[in-house]
Amino acid sequence: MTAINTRAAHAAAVARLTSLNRAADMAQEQIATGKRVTAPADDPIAFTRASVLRRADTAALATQRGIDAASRRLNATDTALAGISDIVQRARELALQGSNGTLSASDRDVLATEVSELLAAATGLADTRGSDGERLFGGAASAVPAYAADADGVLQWQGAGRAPAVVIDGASVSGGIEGPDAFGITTSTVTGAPPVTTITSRDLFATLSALVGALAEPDKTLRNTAMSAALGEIDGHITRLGTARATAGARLGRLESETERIARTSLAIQTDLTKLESLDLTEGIARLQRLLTVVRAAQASFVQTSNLSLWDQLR
Amino acid sequence: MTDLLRIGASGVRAYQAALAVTGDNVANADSENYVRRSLSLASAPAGAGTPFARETSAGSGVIAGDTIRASDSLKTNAARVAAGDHERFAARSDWLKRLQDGVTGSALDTRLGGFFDAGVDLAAAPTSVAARTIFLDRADQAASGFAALGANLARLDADIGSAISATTTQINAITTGLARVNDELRRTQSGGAAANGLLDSRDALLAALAERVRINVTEGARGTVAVSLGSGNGGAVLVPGNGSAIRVGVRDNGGTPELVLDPTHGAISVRLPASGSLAGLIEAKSEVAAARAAIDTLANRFAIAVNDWAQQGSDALGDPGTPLFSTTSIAVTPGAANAGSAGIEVTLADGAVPATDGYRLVRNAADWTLARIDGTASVSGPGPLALDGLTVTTRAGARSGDSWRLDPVGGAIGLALRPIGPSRLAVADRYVSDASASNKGNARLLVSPDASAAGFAGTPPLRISVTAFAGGIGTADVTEIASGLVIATVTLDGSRIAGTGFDFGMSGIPIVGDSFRLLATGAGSSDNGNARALDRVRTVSAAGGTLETSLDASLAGIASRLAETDRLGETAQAVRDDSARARDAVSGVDINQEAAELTRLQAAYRANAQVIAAARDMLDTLLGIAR
Repeated sequence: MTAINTRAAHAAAVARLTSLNRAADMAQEQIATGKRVTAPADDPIAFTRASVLRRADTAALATQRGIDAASRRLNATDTALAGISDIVQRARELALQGSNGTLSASDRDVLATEVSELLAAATGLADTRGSDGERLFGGAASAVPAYAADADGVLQWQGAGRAPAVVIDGASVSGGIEGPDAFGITTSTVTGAPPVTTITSRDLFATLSALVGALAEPDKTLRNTAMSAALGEIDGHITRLGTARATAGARLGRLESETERIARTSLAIQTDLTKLESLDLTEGIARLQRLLTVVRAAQASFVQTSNLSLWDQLR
Repeated sequence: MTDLLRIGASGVRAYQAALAVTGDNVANADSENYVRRSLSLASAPAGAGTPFARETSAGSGVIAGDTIRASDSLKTNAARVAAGDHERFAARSDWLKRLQDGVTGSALDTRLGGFFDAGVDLAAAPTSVAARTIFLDRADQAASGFAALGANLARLDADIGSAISATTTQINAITTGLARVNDELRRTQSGGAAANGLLDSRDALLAALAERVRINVTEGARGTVAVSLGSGNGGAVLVPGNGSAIRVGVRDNGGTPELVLDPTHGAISVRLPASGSLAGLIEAKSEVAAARAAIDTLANRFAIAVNDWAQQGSDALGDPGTPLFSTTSIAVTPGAANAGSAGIEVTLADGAVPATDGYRLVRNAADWTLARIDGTASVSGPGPLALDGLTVTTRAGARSGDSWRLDPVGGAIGLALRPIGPSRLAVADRYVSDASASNKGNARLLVSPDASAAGFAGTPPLRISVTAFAGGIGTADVTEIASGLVIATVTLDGSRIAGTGFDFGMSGIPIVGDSFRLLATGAGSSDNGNARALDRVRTVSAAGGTLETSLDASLAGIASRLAETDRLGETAQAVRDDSARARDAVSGVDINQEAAELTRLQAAYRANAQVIAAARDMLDTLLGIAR
């Protein structure tokens, strides 16, 4: 015969009730937080996986902010390039008008004045700044205007390096167009003795200056040569500007598709996180109900059995 | 006739005693450590048969023998062992949970992630003061996250140390108590109430001892016990059967705690059996020490990587970047015997290298003295004291003779953000390069700073013009743009070309006539090259993976050991409960059983009283005849 130790039996029954209550409490916490894993030890592997996923998610958000900044910059660049394209188109019209031999000197003066204005406007647009005050066409240099006149009064690119890039999963996408790529460069060679400087190419601003000079040229032959040269250069600039805008557009498109990809990845991460961490609410609530039923039954049976005592029968 | 009276009287006395024992059992039904007693009854021995004594033919009644404790030493021992096993897992689980909460509570992974994400934001807005300020704030949070976690773990380590020494103190108190109980037991007649009470105390002490450390118990005469460590004979003796107890202590043996006998005299190191709360505590201490080492390693790795990174770049003023983090701070330990209540403040100047041995600050009668521990330098004075970049500001309330220990600490605790302004943050690359817009090829120039590079002399801006290129090999002229002089002719063969303080290489295929510029990044650059390079610090994999996966692995290790401990603890608890139940079935009080016993003994008592009454009736009858 095994005796039932009154004290131990009582303590054991209370311990069983306590553990049932703890299980019910835990089920309640899981339902309240909606999470299956509330501490790393609940499921170390799921917890580690979830923290990797959460980190990837926030990193993707940061990358997205970088993409947004680069997109803003490229959009602003595109707007500036569009404005300059319009200017160059207008300059081309003026150059064609100026090539007409029937124009009087004063008519050409009017045209030259307008070209000068266009040059000033283009110079202004070439120093457009982004939202943080950075020079859009200055490459990596931001403290000085992208274009400034040198000692000879010739407008020179003051920038350096390349526009800041955005890194997306290891690949970098440039967030801008450097001035020379959009507006060309002025180069010259020095030959012979005594040295003679020959201009081999002109940037947009030098071309417009040359156009002003050509319109003011009184000699008809020289003027015609200069005008046709300027027209040719302007056509080249229009092509180059178009290429630059196309480049900016291609980069914007790339950024847009990356944005979509990041959004899809984020969604996948959220789904994975839900699978890893989240509680199946239906199952959780059913489990809590079951636990509560057991708790109530255990309480009732404890009261009943502890009432059974021989001492009640002793008179 | 008188015999019958005596027999009846002996029965009444015996059952009265038995009833008293039963009453005692009922009264002690809820006493811990109480072992159920029963009275052994035996028939009284036959006598000589003299006229005044008794007849030999009749019985001589009953005598109450020893009071027997209903204890089964095997079951009691099994219950003790099981309780010790459970205590080990309970102690380990308790401290591992605190360790886990400490690591998750520091939110270090979020802070590290936030730092690197702020680096991405910085790359998106390299000239924005706001982005730079936020980045520095995140760097501060990461550093303070490391420092707080380091301090937290150091505190946890110290707390476990206190718990261990408290446990050894308890063990020593218990063993001393047991030795005293042994002494008492030797002096006490067994079978009596006093002896049984002592045996109850002995079992209670043994149970308490077994909860703390695994013991082997050998019972001797009159219930004295010899206690040794471990599960078999031959373990180190804690309590001899006759003599005083041997004290135990825990000392640090090169980072791992070990159990020693007689710590104050000839300390002898002994192997600690893997059971009992002391074993659990020592295991938890090793876990905490391992976690501390892991976090310190991680903090050092983080600081070195980020400082290297910062020094690679160029700040907003065009100067080379400076390290972001300082890796040493000063820990202040007040002297144990300080009588005053003064607090002191210690600051370490940026970039100062304190002596590795540390410093001692002493309050003299009139002023203060700050001295290196190795005695090579000291300063005295009333006010703030400065030594080796250390500034100690003293407060009122110190007594003469008070002292403080100032130690340089590294690792996680030592990590802090240096005082750096937003403009001093190295966001840009040290050098930038661009290709001429008239280039025909698709080559690009890739420059990196390299302080040890000692190739051609010449300071940027430089122009590199390709003079020949065919089949992947070519040559280029390097021209100093300022002077217009060709200072070097270099070979382009895919390898890095060293300048002074930098080197460069070329990617893509150049065409003869192509030219490139190589420039030092000036002030106010909007280049984000260095900010982008922070991603390499994040993704570079060393032993244990990247910084963040190493941290994850540390936490996962702690968590899985905690989960395992909890699982083992549950099993151990079930075993403990079962063996305790088996023990209690023998030695515990069942009040229903006692009620039945009471009824039985009452009936016997009443019957014996009837025997006395019958004897008296018989005597009366006889006396009536004689009248």
